[in-house]
Amino acid sequence: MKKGVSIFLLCILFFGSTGNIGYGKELVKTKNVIFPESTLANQTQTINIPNLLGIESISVDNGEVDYSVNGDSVEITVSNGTPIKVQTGGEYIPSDTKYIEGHTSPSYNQDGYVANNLEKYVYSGSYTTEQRKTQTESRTSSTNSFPNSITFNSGGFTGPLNKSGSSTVISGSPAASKFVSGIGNTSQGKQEIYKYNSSTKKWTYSHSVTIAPWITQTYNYNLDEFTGPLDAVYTSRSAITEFPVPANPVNGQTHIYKQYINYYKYEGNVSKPDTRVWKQIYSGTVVKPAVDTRVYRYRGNATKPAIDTRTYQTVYSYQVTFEYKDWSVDPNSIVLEGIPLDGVTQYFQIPNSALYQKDKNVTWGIWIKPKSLSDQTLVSNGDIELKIGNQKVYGILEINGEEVNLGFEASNLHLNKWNLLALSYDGNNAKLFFNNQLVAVKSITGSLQYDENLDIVIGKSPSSNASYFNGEISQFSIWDKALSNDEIALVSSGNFQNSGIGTWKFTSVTNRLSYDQSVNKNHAEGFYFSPLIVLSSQEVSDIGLTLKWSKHSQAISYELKRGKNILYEGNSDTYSDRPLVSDTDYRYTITPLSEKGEGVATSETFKTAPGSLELLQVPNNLTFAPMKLNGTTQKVSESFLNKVIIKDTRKERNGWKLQVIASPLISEDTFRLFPENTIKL
Amino acid sequence: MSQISGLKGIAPTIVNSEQFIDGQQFITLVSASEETGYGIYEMTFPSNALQLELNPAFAYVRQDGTPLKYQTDINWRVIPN
Repeated sequence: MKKGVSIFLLCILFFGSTGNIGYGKELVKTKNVIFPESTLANQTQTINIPNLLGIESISVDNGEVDYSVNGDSVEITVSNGTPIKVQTGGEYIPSDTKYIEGHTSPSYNQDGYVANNLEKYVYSGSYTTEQRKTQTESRTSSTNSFPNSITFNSGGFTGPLNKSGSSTVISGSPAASKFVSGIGNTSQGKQEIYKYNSSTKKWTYSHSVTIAPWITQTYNYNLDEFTGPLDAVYTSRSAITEFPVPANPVNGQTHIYKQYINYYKYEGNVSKPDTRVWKQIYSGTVVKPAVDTRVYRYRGNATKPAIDTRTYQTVYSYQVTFEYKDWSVDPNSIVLEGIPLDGVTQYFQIPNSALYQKDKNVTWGIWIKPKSLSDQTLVSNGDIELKIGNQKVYGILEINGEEVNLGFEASNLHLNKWNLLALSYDGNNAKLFFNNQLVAVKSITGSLQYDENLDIVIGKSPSSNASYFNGEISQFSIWDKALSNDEIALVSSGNFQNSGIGTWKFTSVTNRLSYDQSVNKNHAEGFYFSPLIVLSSQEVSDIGLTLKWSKHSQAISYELKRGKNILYEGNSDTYSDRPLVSDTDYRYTITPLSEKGEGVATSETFKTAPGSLELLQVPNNLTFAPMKLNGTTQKVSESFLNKVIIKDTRKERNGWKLQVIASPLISEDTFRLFPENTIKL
Repeated sequence: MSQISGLKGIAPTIVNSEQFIDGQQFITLVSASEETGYGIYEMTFPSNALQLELNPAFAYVRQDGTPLKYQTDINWRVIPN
């Protein structure tokens, strides 16, 4: 841009009374935001206020409030509020008291009524006091052995009785013994046996034998309490009967020689036991204990405590009141698509064309959403320029060899909002529009000049890598006429008609190329943007692969190339590329497309899998029908039901052979074998 | 012999027909020379392609006159040149 002195024939600046140039009035409004009851002390709400310009003030009914603004969104954060206790459920039932009696326990707990330490009282029965008396008792024993005391228990009286005096014999006598004789009678018959000795011719005593009557050897004495066993004692003998000896005895012959009876009496020691009975007197005091048949019960008041099942929680509630300023009229609600420029390297370039070099009746218009008011070039070809510099927005034209500047304070731009800037010249007046307002005009008759003859660059200086724009751009147009105020109003509503000699609409998917919507098709090329989508491969085999790419929300179709050849154009996100050569690298490029332009392409190289040589299929078993032999060479045939399929995808194409061999025809019992050359194919 | 998949290639050559295959050597049915036979091919046999020529001198039945089954194994292979 040449430096020079502008010739001001007339300069009018239009500003509102507030100093803001917006689309209309900027109003201060009040808004209440209720934060409903929540258990969270810290709460955040985001509200959207269309066309928000800024927050003037903010307050909260309790606690603290903070906020942040992002475009039309206001994020409000409240904290440290006053806790509120609220009932969330349950009920309260007051306590109740009732009088109870006849209860068997000092504690009572029934039907919710509870009492402890109830009063004890006599429910039934009586009490008889203790009685005492002197009691004498005697005890007898067969021995003179008595305990020192005995226990008395009779008629309810009990107690120990002690010996009173010494024991006495009340009957019987002591033990005694004596010798008695001449008692009773018993007898024993006997025979004496003799034996004859022939040598001596004498009879000599051999032995004796007993005969009846038979003796009783013992006798039990029992007389006058004396008892004891007595033994038989010989007393006398009866007359002896002798028997005549036999005549002519032989040696050893026996002979009963004598027979008689022996008489006996009994004698021996007898004794009697001690039969004395002893008596002992006992005496002492016995006691009849007190008798208590009383039954006690309990009485008193039992209380049913209050029941409180109420539940509570602590909640926080806030009401935030804030004043804000917004734009109050339409075009400000315009929502445009755009593309961000990073302010560092990114820009668009439109090839220079004689079409744009009008000497008059020309308008440039551009929608921008700036992030800052620092110095930056919005659009320029070196002769016509819109830029921000020194805190001003400038529209610059080269007229009659001089640089004509029109401008307004950059602070009027709305950061992070869409702003329309338009610059026109009709041969007499140079005008600068901001949104739907004419903000600067200079009257100068002459012709526009294009000394620099540069490409049109959006987003940086056209002559150097400097003055990059940081923000979004949406649309840029060149009209071959000076737009009227009404036309500017139409444009400022977001309606960029394609009536100009060049119109470019930018979106995130036009970062490689923004199509010129006019008939001239002089597209704007983007620089230093990144690819938008990811390209990957799937199902990679030796004869092909499937390509898969991520979709872009603003793309309506995709162009897929292998090398320079277009394989596919459509809105799918996959493409199966086959047949391909095995073990080979293929370079693919995918480009997202829209009606407004196209995105930066993504290129990737994928390699097919190594190939192979193999038989994929051979015929199945087949069976010949049974045949009957006729004694001659016979021919039979059958058809294969399946095909042979061969695959050769090897990169090394050295050819192949399909070969076959059959084993000799052999019987199922393996004993019979046909010779070679029996099976023919 | 026809190609059913893969890059369009030059079809291999069928060597000849009607050969005995029960000898001592593999018999080549199809031959693909260099740069041919690339891809996937299927080979369709004509009707009654498999033929038996039975010499009655070797065709036995069971001693009781009942039929006797015979069988053979056919092995296929594809080998590179």
